[in-house]
Amino acid sequence: MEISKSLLSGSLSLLLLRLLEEEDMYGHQMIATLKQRSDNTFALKAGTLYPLLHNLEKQGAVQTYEKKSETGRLRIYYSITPKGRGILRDKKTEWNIFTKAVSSVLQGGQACAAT
Amino acid sequence: MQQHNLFRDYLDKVCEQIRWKKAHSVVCRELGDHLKDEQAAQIDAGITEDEAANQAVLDMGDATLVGSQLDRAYRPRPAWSVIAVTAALMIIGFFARIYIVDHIEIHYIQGNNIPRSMLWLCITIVALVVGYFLDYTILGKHPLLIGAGFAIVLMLLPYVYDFMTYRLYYSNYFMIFIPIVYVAILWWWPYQGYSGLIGSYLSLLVLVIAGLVLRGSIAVFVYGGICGLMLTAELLKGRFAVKKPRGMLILYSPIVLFFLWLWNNSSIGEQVKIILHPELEPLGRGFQASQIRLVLESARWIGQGGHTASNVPDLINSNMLTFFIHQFGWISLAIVLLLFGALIVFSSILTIKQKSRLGRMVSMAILISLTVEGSVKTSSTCLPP
Repeated sequence: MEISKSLLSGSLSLLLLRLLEEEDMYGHQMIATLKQRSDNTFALKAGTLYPLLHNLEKQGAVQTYEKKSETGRLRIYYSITPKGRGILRDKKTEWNIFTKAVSSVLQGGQACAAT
Repeated sequence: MQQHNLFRDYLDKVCEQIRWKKAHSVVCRELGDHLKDEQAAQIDAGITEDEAANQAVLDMGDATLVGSQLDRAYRPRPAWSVIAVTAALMIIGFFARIYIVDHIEIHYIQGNNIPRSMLWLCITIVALVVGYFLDYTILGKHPLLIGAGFAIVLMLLPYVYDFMTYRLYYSNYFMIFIPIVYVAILWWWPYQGYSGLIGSYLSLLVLVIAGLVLRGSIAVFVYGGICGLMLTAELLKGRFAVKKPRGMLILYSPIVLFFLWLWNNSSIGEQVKIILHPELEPLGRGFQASQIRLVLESARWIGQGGHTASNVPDLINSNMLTFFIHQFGWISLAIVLLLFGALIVFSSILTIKQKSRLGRMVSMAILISLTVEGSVKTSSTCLPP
């Protein structure tokens, strides 16, 4: 089932920062990893990825550097910054509250009542 | 070759949407890499090279949309606060003129026409906003055209202006552009060594001579001097790869000799003498400075001074500060100097922060012009010799 774009757009930066928390990656690698881990649910277009990455870089959440990849090609890698880790932490908390609240509403208020 | 063109076309379309041209190379490089990666992945999946290239472009998404999203990421936020403060200062200046006209009997006022002044105020604010958003990199793209065009315009203007009133008064405004035009030439100047230094020096002389043809006044030397400071800064930064003391000697010995000659032989030397000693001609060329001196001698720290200011010429323009010192005391000068100093410090910080070399040179030319112009105006209206 294809996920609606509006649902995905708010959480994309969270997903990207989470990937970069594990290891530094280049753009194509991020799309492939995201697709693989979500069982093809998050099939991101490059046109969506790069503006988002460039915005994160502008905010100081990620930084870039050049490195030779396994194929020997010089690529632009992204790495998460300490500021980015802080943003990720906040976004995770925000996401947990949000999903819990949505689940609670969908289940008729049971989830929130249980906590 | 076909794939190369396909990728090239896609990247060109993306970059067409990004107004900040410096981002083009980064975006092209990164998206180009991505296209190649995607093509390789598609080939691994078992399709032909051409089909893989087409698929890679399709997977990227619409080029115009991608470009406009990246444009948003790179769009610098306009510094509206800076524009608003500058516009507010212009409006304060406008009301200050009205205040002066209301509070003093002025026998002759040039441009004392409120509706006309309001119209010019509006035009100036619009010009300020347009100037702010102008792409200064045009200086780097067409330096020769701009330099030669400006010199020709300067030389031709007197013939056009011959039929107009206030020819000399308005021609001063063209002088303000000399440092900016010289930045374009200096930025482009491709030659190194002593010939490079002398060549860029000669191009400055062409601008100064063109300025002298338009108006043989001290303003030309002030703006020429600002250009000289820019050239000195480039020399000291090692731009010409020459020995710095020798370079300084080349730059400054002709200037010293020229000024010595000027001091002794021409009317400009006479003008300078009158500026330094206005009492030599108190009813002639030294009249303005003599009148300012009389007003300032009776000025107080706070409160109105004793001597009338109505004999000082041009009170609502150049000598506005003299009026305020007379009306409110030296405290008004202190406030203006404080504000001016803060503006210069703030502008200097912005100039230092400029990342592009051309941007820094343009900012520096404007900053030095503003500082020199402001200092000369302030000292002539409140600190006459």
